[in-house]
Amino acid sequence: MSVLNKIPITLKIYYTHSEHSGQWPLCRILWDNKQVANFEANGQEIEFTVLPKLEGTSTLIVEHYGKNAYTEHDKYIEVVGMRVNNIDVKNMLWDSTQYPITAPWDEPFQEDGNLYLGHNGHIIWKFNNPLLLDIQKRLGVRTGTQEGQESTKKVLNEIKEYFANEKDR
Amino acid sequence: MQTDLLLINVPRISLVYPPAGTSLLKGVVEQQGFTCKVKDANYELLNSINDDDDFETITNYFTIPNAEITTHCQKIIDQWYTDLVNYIVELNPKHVGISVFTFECQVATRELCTILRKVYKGKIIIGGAGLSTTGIATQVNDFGNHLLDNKQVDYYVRGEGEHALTDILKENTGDGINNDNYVQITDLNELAYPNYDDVINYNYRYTIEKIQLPITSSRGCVRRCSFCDIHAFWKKYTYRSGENVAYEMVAHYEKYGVRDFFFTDSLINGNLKSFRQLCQTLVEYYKENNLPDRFFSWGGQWIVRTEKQLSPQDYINAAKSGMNGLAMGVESLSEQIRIDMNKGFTNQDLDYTLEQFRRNSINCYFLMIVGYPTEKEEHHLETMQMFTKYQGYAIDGTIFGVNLGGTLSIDEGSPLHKDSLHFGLEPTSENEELFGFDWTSKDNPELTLLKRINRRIDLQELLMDLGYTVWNGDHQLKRLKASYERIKQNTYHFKDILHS
Repeated sequence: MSVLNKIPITLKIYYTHSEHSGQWPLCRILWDNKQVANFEANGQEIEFTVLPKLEGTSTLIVEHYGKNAYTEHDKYIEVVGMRVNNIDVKNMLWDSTQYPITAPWDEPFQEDGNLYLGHNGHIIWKFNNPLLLDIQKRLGVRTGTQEGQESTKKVLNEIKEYFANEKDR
Repeated sequence: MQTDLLLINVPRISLVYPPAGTSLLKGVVEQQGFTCKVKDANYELLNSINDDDDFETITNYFTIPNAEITTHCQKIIDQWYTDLVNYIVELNPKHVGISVFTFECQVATRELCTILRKVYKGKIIIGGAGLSTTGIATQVNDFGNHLLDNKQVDYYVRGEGEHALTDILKENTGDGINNDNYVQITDLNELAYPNYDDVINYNYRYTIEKIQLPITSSRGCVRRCSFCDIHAFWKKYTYRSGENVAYEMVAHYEKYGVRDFFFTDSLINGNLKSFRQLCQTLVEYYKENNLPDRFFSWGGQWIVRTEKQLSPQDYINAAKSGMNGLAMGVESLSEQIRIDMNKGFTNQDLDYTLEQFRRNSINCYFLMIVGYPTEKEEHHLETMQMFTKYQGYAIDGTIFGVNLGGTLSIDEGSPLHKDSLHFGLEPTSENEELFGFDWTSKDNPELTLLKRINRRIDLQELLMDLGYTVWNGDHQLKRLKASYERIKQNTYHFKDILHS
């Protein structure tokens, strides 16, 4: 895993949003709790890069903020797609949890797989690292070979060790 | 009634689907009024081995020079020879034909012929690319001549077998029979369809977990890659019409219920008119029979084309017809090295092709060559960087595998071999002949065999880290190590590259 933490990964989030009503919805994106984007949601997509980790988990947060719950009832953003290094994450999009900041008169709640942010609040996605290998696994991409065509780390390391001791004549 | 011909497949060949050649030949000789049976003895041996270690030991015995064999495995092999010979003697066909598909079938062929000669009175025929140890185009028909000279066989067949085999059955002589004067068949549409009756019920290790049949739609290649000997063997690129190929697929579906096909061609998109016809005919068949798109699935080897040659609509049609699982000879991800190889496509063409595959859910497999004679460190790094760039295609399954090969092998008949002086190539060891892995380049002296092997290892390590599925790495690396040791000991000679 020597190179995986050195290559930036590009994420692109696709969204829809409410019409302009004095102000566009405001949005922030955090990767591992660090802000990577802060923008007015008046387009269709936002792209940013992150540096992945080798181990543990990573979190992606899309936050809707700045909405006046008393005067801006219609303001919202909705996440509609996500690509990581141009890979469509497909169903993984709904493997998320929304934590809205509810109006004082509403009961607080959280909701899985709700990508519509009508309240201020955030949606969180969790990934295992290495990120791309986690996506590969969760997409269900087949990574095996047919029988007799395997490539194993065991043999690779044995052969590598053998040739490490060899010298050109 | 005595069977005219028994065709046998011997180890070691793939177990992923029925061998194409023997069943095609069965169809052809039956069309001429002869009786023929096919026996896939390769499958019968290898499929009977349940223990992984035994499987590896036995396949290594057939394919890796001087591989050790345990007493237990030797017994399994001996019993297999005994059973096979008993079967032949009992069937008592007029002719036995052994398919020497590659040089990796030589060990089994030689041994079988030796035993058979003592107990079988009919004629023994061998044929296939494995008659030559150093590549199908070589003029040195070492294995065929060796067995003929030793009277272990009656006939060897060079070149295509369809006409030659019929000639043997009819009059015992003809082009390519015990001589190298084979004549290439120009009209492939005239050939009968293969007859898979004898092997259709074998439980091959289909990669897609259902029955898959091989199809051959062309012979030869439209390109002239410098490392490849295919165009020396198939002087002319010949191909079947798209309709003819589609009708064969439909015939197999209607006879066997098979919907999955793998093309054995060097390339399935060599003739674009025929390729489009194939896609179109299949799509129309689905429509006429109220079948969904992609009702069949079919794939094979693919060459990268420009957007001008193959439009996005062509990819949409191909996907609708069921095209999937394509093996591409990408060879190097350094554009300069591919120019040196005469590969005929740019990085832009490859980017375009991969994106069309992704959009149409067509997956592919890269065939690579590490250590081309002009490859320098920067080219190797470029390849590693490009694999990093393409990582997303491995993650989403567009690239489902990479085969790194065993580093560049110089095959007789290839431009690299023919023009070795021009390329500055010479044997590394005391060999007088340039072949296989035993070469070095005067123009690029840093690219030693050891350097090439280490780059091969580095690349596999990177790819596995990036989430690519590397295929056949274990076998290739072990074989590479065995070859390296023989070169070091000056025992790597092409005439006895296998068991001497």
